[in-house]
Amino acid sequence: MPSPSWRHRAFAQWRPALGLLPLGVVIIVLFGGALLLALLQSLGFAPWLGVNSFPDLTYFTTLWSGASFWWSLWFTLYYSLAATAIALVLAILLALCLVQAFPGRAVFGSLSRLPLVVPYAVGIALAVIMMGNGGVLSRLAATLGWIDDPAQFPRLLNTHAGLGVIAVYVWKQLPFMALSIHAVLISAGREQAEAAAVLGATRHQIFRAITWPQIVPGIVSSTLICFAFNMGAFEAPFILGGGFPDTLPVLAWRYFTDADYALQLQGMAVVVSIGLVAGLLIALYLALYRGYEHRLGRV
Amino acid sequence: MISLALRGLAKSFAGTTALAGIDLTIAPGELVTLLGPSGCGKSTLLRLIAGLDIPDQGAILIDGRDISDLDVPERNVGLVFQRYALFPHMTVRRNIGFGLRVRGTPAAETERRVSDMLDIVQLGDLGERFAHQLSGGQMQRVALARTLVTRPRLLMLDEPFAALDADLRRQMRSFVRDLQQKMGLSTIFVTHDQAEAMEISDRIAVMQSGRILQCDTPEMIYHQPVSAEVARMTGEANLVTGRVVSLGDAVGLDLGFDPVPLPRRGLAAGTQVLTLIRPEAIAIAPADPGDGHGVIQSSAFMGQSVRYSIAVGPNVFLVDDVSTRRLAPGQWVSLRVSPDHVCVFPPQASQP
Repeated sequence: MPSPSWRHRAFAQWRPALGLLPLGVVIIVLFGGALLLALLQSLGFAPWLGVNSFPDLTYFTTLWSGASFWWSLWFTLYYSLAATAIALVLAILLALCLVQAFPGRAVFGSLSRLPLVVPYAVGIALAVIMMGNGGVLSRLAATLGWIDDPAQFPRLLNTHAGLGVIAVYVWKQLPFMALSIHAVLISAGREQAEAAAVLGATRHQIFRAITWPQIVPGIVSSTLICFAFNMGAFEAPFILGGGFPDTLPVLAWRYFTDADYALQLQGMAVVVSIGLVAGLLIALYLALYRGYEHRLGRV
Repeated sequence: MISLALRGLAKSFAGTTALAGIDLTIAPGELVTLLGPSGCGKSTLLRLIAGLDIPDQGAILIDGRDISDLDVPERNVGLVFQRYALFPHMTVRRNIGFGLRVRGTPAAETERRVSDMLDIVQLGDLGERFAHQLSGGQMQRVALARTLVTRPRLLMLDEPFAALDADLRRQMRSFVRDLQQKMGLSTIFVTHDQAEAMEISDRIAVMQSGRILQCDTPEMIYHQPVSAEVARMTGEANLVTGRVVSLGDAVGLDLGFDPVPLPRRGLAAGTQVLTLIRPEAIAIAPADPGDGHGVIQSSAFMGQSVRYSIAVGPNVFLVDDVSTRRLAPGQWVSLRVSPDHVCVFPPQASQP
């Protein structure tokens, strides 16, 4: 029979895990359950809609055999990757700027973080106001004499170039990425960069050899979150995108809102496809990152 | 070997004075220690010389040439940081070779010099380890090797042994001193440990509140400090006020026991002066009650000596007795001091 001290030790060992149980249940039931249902529906299992042809790959083959799907996939990846890359470059510059001492740094830092607390919908509205034909930029260009009339301003929104979509993503995600990188820079301190400078390294060499390896963990975590969000977001591409062929999330949304309920299964195939592509890319990204960390001796 | 001269170096941070006009000269191959409490400006001085901070005033001259306007990488001075600042994502070899690589040294020469330096710091078989796989002493050696391999004109060490245990500190002190002398490097060493400063230095600059109070040999700093502050910062000190008395043609100092003939002239009988006597400079002998000069208040075994606290009139003297006897509190003792071991501060410096 186990002694009381053994039971006490076992309880102490498992207590932290027990504390996480409510959260675990929520994640497993809500997230895991939804994922399972999405997968089942995409394979033809939806008896509540009067459809049950499980297992049936028709929804995927139909989807993947259409050229528009691949265009949709391309636009989804393009908007997601371009926005993440642009936001990353700007976030690194912003974070490096915020670790320097200069007058007004606190105010500048607060202003740069403002988009974090502003909803996406506001960002989309701002993009329309700023970038739309007849918007602030077009009127400004006309006022400055660059163009004769605001209507001549190049079309920035509702094109497949996706400038408006990318601009909104960057506007919203730049401060988030900068915050992650800035936190890493603050915790790393200045000493290593200073040591490198004293050893003869230029600013460029310091960034490449010292700062970059320091901020890579912050970059990876924040870009992963932003990329995954961009892959699944539909409001900005729906309002600011170029229309057919839409991004995959918009395509899924159109299926879900179609009068024909059975098309919900086709929408689920789109959702699962998004998950597969995003999952594969994230897994590849993490594998590359793990290899990088291994080379640096950190894992 | 180079000489360094600092001329009126001043620096403030947000209105707080960190350095208030530092003048210091370091001869080629000399090791000068900056000794002082935390916040006295020691590290700031190193950062100004390295170029990591910009002085508000003054000049930094290496071999007579002002380097104040040079960027950090162009100064070619070496700085070993207190917490080593090793690059955690590089192996020991890559850490040591970093300075050579960024200067464009050919790979073969870099490898050769790194290997030589690994041998010098006795880490030859640890080249492929990362910083987190090293002990404190090993990390210290890597930091030193990384700096020395670039052949800096001046070596600066910012409290390099602060994180090491006492035994390792002693080893590293002697290791660094030997290496510095072998390489003939002009060196600035920063510490707040007076024993470390005494052991390692050619000269010590005692700092307080952004100023150098005295810069001299360890012997002069210890036995002839210019002020009570310097005396206190450089070891245990009996700082007591005595009265100058006439001893025939000469004068002596009355501290409550037999007057000590003063080596210094120019003091009038009756003057009150502040005096420094180090605890080990006082000899004591047991005396009968009422016959001695003072009474032992307490004692503590220090290993190589017994430290007594002895009340003599209004003064209390600390005395380090190296004999094997242990006198009890309440014991009367007579005290004797050699005139060579008495440091009398001039009246204007006699502020305890």
